[in-house]
Amino acid sequence: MTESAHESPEEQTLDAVMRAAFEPSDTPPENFDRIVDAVRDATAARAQRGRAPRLAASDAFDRYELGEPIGAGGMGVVYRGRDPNFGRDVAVKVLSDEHAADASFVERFIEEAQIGGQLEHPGIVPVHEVGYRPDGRPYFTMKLVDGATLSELLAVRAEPTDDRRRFLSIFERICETVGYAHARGVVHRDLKPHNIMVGKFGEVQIMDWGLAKVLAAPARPRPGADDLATVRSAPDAVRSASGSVMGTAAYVPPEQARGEVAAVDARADVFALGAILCEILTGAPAYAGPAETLWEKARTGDLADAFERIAHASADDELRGIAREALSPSPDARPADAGVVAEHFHRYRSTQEKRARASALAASRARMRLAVVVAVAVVLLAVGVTLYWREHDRADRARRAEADAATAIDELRDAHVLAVERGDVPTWRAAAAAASRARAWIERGAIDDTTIRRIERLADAVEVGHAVAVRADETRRHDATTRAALERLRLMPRPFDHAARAARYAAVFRDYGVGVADLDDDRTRAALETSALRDALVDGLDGWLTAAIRFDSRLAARIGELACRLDRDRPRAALRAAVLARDGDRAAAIAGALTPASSPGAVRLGGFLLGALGASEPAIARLRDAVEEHPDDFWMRAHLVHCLEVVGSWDDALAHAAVLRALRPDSPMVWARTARLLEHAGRPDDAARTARRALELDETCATAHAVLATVLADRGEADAAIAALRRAIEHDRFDAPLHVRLGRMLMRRDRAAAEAAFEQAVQSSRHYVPAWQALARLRMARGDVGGACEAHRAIIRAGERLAAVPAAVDETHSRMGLDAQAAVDQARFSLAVLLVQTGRNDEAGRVARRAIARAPNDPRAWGVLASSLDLRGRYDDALSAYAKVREHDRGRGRAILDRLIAECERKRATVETLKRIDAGEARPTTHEGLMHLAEVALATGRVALAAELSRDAADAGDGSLAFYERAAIAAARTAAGDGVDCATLTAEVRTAWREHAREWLLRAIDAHATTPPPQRRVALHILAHHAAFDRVRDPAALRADERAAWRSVWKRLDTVAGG
Amino acid sequence: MDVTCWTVIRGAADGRDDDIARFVQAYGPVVRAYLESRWRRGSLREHVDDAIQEVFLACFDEGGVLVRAQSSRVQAFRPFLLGVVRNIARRTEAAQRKRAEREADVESGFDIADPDGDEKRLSRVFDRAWAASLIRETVGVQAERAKRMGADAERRVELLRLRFGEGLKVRDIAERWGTDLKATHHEFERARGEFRTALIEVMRFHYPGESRSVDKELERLMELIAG
Repeated sequence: MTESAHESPEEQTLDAVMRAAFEPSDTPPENFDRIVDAVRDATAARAQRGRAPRLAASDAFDRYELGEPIGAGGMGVVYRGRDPNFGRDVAVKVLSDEHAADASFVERFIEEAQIGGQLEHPGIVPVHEVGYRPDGRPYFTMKLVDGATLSELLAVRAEPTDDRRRFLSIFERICETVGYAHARGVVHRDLKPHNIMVGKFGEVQIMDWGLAKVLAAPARPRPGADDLATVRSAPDAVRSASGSVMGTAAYVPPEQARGEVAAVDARADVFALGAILCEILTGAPAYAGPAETLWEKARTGDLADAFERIAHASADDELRGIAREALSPSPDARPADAGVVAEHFHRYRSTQEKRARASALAASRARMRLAVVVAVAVVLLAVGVTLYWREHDRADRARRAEADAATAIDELRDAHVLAVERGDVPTWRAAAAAASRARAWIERGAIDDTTIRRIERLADAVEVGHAVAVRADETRRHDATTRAALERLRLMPRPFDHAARAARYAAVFRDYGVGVADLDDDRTRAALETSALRDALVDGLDGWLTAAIRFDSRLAARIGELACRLDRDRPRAALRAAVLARDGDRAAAIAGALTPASSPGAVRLGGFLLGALGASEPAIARLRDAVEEHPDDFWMRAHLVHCLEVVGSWDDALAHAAVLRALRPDSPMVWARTARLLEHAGRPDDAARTARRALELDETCATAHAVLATVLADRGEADAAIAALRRAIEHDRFDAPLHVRLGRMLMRRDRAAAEAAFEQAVQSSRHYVPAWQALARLRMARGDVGGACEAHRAIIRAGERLAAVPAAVDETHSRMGLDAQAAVDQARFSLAVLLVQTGRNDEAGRVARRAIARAPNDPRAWGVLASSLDLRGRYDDALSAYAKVREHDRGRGRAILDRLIAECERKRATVETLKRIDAGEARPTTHEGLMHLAEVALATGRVALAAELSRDAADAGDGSLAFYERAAIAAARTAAGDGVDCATLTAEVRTAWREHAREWLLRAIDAHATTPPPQRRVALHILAHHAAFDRVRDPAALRADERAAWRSVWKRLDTVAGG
Repeated sequence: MDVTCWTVIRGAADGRDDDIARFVQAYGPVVRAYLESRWRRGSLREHVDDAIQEVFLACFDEGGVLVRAQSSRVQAFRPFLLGVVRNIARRTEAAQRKRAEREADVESGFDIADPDGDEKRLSRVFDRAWAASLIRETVGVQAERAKRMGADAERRVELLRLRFGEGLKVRDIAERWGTDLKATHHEFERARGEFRTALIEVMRFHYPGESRSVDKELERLMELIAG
């Protein structure tokens, strides 16, 4: 039995503990001396700093010229100051002496500055700088707002109904501003009229964020709103534990008054808003009475008096309801945040305005009726009182002038107040008109100097205000236009032609004031850095970069440089560098390594590039994770939708598109892209409805018109579809695919219009292969052989250009790259055939050899090379090429090939016959024998001999169509001196051969009369385009006596071809 | 006034060297055990020392979480220390990730292995290390006290070491020492009692408050060690 067998369980456990305690250990106890030292040093240093929050060292305070104190809050004193660097007056807030030693006050004070610095809203005073004074006290500087507090303005009212409209307008601005703060996760916690400044231009600004609290999560996160980071916002535990009983009793909700810090959230501010509204409506805040009773009322939520006052206030039920709801003692019964209150209030104001307009209209009608009655009465009375009026006229006129001037001044003052309050351009314009009317009284000279000065002062203020409002409005409009243009561009279905895409970006940036020449300009960079659109512009530059890299590396590099200078995000810069190096693998590797925690900008660009590189699935995986992390990031989700669209995940794409619509409900392109998705997903009716919604938002949305066109075409409504396409083109004439779609729809109706549409497509985009393919077919069909050749050459150029970029920068081009290669192969073959048929065998041979270099096993290319060699008399080489055809051909056209080879061998043998004839042997006398000799002579460049032999053959008997074609070609080339044996021919001899050429060509044309019409047209136009006839194609270039004859030849050819 | 972990924290926050040393030596191994376990894979291991330092600075920070916890009369220290360590770990991970993205080349910037985020497991690691730390401290307290009490008391500590450290039976110890077995048994029981007293003292230091809380934690500690 062991010693522990007698022990209780507790004793046994204690033994286990002791075994652990005395267990021998090989490892000595760890020495934490180094960490102890480090902690000791850090603690000592902190103690020396008075435990102040860390701020960048600043000796900037000395530069401010401090003036008199202009206000004092719970924590600090505000001075009027002047910043000589910027030549502007500022407000300088300094932590008061008694709190300077208390770390929590220092922390809170700096947090106030940080909140002000990070909340960017017209209703929040911007903080310029934060730092420590030489005496160690923190300070911050902010915009100096001249004006009065709402508290002061409310106090001077005689009645709560005075200036009601103005105060409600101020309240609306307060709600909007606090709503913004709530969306950023900030609760003010001390909202009251004393903390609200109303500037002299009517601007409303919320002050004193010293008690503000940064919530762990915003009440209702706004798209694009980052979390606020302040000295107190690091660990969650700190945030939740911060705060204490604070605020101003008359405006705080019960939970805040009771010190339930954790329960204080956005709804506490909502209560304060209710209290402010209560004061506007009733003249007193939520709690009124002796100061010592206020906290008790606040703690218990004793709002009976407030509700009683609100019930009897002169206001609409709806407005009273807003106040009551906001003042609910229970937070759960209040609106969730100030944004909701703002929405309720907007709705109320909108209803009021509608009612007011309706009422004004009714009043106006009533006045009209009354005016008629009064006018009649006045006419009747006028006769009777004329004498009386005459007597008093002079004095009365003077009185009226004074009264009118006074009215004009009143109108001007009211207009000024209204303009300051509303701040919009029309109101300022109306105020300017009132100023002009008032100034007119100065010119009439009927008013005293004091009044004149008053008018001038007011009118000057209106002029300045009007100018400022107009400029601000212009800037706002310009920014909005640029933002919308960039958004439209980035959301457009990606065009095939990146030059066109880049041109569009260039146009947007040019309109914004950044031309291509300005990309390297430091002033441009500086201007963009401070632009309100900076983020959108950086995204735009990236879009431009990915387009420009396709065709202009230097331009792309300059764009990339500017983007990197504006946005220093490292992974994003690395992505740009990979794009600029045209290194798709590197771009994919970087993009693939991004995580949702990476910067949103990098994730967006990485997702875009992965998709662009054809790696849609990895792109989707990354972007899916990223949108979970950044649910409000519009562009991240837009890229995800695009990738899902590429892989055909319509339902998924539509689900995300719904979120995009929620984020940007007013974006026509979002609706248009959704319509496109619906159309792809086989929901044409929904697609049409959604496209129409896009068009309601923007009638010029080409993408929406294009979707409608597709739906209509599928329904068989061709006319309507064509009309929709024409509207799409009207609004985006640079979209080559749209032109091609229109051309295809017109093909069966009007080939000329169709061809014009294709021509427009290539005008829009010189590298749009489908347009050139269509043009090649159409031109060939109507006999424009030269035009067809030009189209084939354009296809080859475009395709080679695409193939020259090793790593595609978007998926459209990746796909296009494959299609383009097939298109290039086909174009090379078609071009080479046409060149052979039109006697341009050298060029045909070159084209064929390039085709063989790309596809060595293509029998078509070997075939056309063999023909070109055959027609140049290089029979051995031709036979080798025919052998390659036989090697790679899958059996199709074997009989024709055998015949061609047999003929080639015969022609090779004929070369020997020609040599014997040259040596003096007699010529053959039969038509066929002479014809064979002529054919070989022509191929080997002895065109004069070929012409002679053809003439003898023709004399020996009627020839075939092919014979007359070759004879005409031989004669025409002889006449042109285009042969090795033409040097000694006289002009007369050449003219004679030209006459033969004309004669034989007419015979060939007539021989074609029996060929079926489509082939006949093509064959005759190919014949007409033959290189041999280059000198006679234009009769104007011929001798006068030959012109008519050749004109009749070509006319005949057109007639036969057309017939 | 009783000395508790809170008074040590306050002293450390005020810069008292002894308190800083005592606190760091006591909890350093616990914090290290947690962080090393959390970052057992990946490049964050090299940041363990910095993170330990951050943890203690956060503990001593005026207005920091522990001081606030004390002021709100929340007495249990262990969960708060765990909370601080966890927050510092997360903050370090986030900062490291951002720094890698911002400063390092992109390829290696994403090389941060995901921390082993199994909080239950990490919590157990923390608890074990915590328990080991308290026991270590108990041994130290008992030894310190024995030193003050004299040779007999120090001999009792040695008796415990031979019994539990070397696994000798009391009989063998009596034989080795040439002492009476009954008297040795008596000394052994006394030594056990002294250990228990030291343990409770240590627990009171770390769990200032009601005795019920101490008993509960002692029970839990023993369970942890025994299990």
